[in-house]
Amino acid sequence: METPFHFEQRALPEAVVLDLHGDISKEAENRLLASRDWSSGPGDGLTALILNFSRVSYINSIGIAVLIRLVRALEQAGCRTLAYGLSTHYQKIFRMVGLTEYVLVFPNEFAAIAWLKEDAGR
Amino acid sequence: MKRWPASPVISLFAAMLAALLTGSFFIFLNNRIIHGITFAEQRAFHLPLIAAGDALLLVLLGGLALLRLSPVRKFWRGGLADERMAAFRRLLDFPLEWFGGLLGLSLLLIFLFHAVEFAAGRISLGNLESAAKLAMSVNAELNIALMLAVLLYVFSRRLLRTQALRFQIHALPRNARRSAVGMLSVTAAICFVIVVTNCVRVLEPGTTVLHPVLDYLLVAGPYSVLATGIFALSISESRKELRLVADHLHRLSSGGRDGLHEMFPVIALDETGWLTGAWNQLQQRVKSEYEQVERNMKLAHAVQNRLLPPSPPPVRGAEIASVCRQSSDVGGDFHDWLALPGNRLCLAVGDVSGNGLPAALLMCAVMTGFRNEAAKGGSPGELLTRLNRHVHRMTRGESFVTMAVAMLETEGPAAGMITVASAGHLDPIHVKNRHAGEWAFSSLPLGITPDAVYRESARRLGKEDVLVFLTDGIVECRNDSGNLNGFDWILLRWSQPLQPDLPLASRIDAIMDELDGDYAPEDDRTLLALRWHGDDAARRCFALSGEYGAEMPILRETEAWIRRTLPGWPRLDDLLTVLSEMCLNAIEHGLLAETGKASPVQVHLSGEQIRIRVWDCGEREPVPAPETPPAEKWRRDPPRGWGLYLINRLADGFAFGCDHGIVYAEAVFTLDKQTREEC
Repeated sequence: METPFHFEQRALPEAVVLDLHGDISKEAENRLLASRDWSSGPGDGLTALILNFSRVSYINSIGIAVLIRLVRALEQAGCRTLAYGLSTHYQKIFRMVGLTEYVLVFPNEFAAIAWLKEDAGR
Repeated sequence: MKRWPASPVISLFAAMLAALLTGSFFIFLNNRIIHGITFAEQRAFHLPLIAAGDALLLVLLGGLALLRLSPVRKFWRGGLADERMAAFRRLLDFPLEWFGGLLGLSLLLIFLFHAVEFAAGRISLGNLESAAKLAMSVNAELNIALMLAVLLYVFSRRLLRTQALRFQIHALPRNARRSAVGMLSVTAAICFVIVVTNCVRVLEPGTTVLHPVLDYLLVAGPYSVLATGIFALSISESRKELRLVADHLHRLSSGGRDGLHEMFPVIALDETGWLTGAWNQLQQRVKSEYEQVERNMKLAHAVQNRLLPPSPPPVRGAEIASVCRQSSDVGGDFHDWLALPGNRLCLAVGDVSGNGLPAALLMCAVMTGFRNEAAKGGSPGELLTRLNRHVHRMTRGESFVTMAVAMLETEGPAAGMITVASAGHLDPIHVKNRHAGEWAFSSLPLGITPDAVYRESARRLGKEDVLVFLTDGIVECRNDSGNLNGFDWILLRWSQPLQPDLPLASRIDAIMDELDGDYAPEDDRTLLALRWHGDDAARRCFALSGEYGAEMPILRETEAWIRRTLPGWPRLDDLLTVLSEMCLNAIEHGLLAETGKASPVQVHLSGEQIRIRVWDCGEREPVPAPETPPAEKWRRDPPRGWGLYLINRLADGFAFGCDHGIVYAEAVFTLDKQTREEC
């Protein structure tokens, strides 16, 4: 069956990082979206959320809907969403469904943080 | 940087001290025995002067050693690179300088000693007898000095040679060259002087003991032996240096390829040094040429590898794996596969006689000819008959090619039928029900005669049958004891049970690794194997239950199957996403409402495409609604509806259909498309 979904949250000076584990599917809907009110931002007074997909091997259309809801809520709060660790295939899927319009995809956490620092300096 | 060790300097001093004490002892014996001077007389006059002379020699020769070898010590303490050659030359010149120093100082001391003797009135030159006595005494002392000078030269040369090796000088400058002949001539002259001058003693009047001739022989014999020994010792040093060079050459010729272009350090300034320098120069030139050849061979190897097929083709119901390992950079083994019209697959394995570049060139020509002839059609026997005429035109019978060609029917009523023709190639191995046996053929290799006709033989492969083609490099490997592994070795390997789920490539790799590990292959080695899974093996059927996540086992099994059957197929991820969305669609729109029901899911691989079919529970064919633009989907709450959107963009075709009254959705992927253009 599915690889159970769970996530861990880390607060860095620049952003909150969500380390996602397992399949992003129906189960993620309950666990991720119900964990907090994302329309008030990612927490800790920060305005950026970084999604770490390194431990995610499966995302289906339900999972995509979950991610869209998360990104949409953060947009409402005026926050940025960044991602790294996505396979080439899921980067393609993100482009197809328009997620890359709202989520900046980076190869690793270092690159994502570097971009945030640079952005803060502008 | 390594430091100049103290031990050679100490050894030089020790040798010098030993030489001086020996010389003094000989002078003492000469005075006592030949001239009859008593010990008391010698202690009163001779011995103090000899001891003073020895001390003076020790200080002067020791000072000479320290002075002349100081550039060497300075260099090893951290000298500049351009001081290397000067220090090296100084080291090799030193034995000769020491020789000259000892000889010159000895002459001076002999003169001083006898001058003091004369001044003290101990000798007179008033008559012929006393003058002759003095001459004899000087002669004896001079002989001892000559012997000691030669011995000291030989010893210091031997001692400093090991230090010269540390410099790792590989070429001598032209102005640094010396000749071994010069020093050998001097040594020979010294030996001559030792023998002749000592024999003069018998001419002294009143000294005849037995008979003048007999006395001469009795004196000349021992001195000749002594002189010959000194000469041999001197020559032995040159011999040792030559021997070192010869040992280097021998080690090089019997060593591995890594040390092939190794250079030797120069250890002498004479002809041995010239020879070493010339050899090193030759080595450098050969190395440069060799590297050029190696670069060309690597290029040829890359071209040849590109000619070989990169990965096995996707074949309905069959699995193909191959490995080709060449003994040199380029070789004569080859294999190929071609998909032919009419659901036929053509396989070929061949071996060109010889190896290296000529074999590789012929191999390239034969592979091109094979592809051309296979495209023209015909059976394997006809193909080989036509190809043989081309090969014979190229080789004129001077070279030949063994080759086996097989054609497999992959679909239809003849699916699994394989026809094989062989041109002098090793018989293929047919593995059936764990029994591996040869499929025997008898024929001439390609290129021997222009009018050879090749017969063929056909069999129907059973489910999980394996057909293996190999080249002679596989069965002609020798182990450490020199025994050939032979055909039984490979038959035994294929008789071992083959797990249906394990890729065929893993068995081939294991056999090759065992061969390369336990044997010493000298020839190119190729293995090509075909496993027939059966026509029905191109289909996977599943039952999808009505709960979220029920699609996961289907995805996992399909992924493993496609990876095994179509290794490296670039659209696997797209297919899995489409299959996942089709299953999810069935779960959400049909199965969740009908508890206890399951939907059939089928993934079907044909020669050209993969079809995914997911049956629904309903009997009414759905009418697809017009697709909602993505921007509108984003505004929805929840923002769903991405499943069909992705299926339409990832699959090459998608439709609903009805089979015996049951509605199904079907997606199609075309195998020869590398990617589908994204919207």
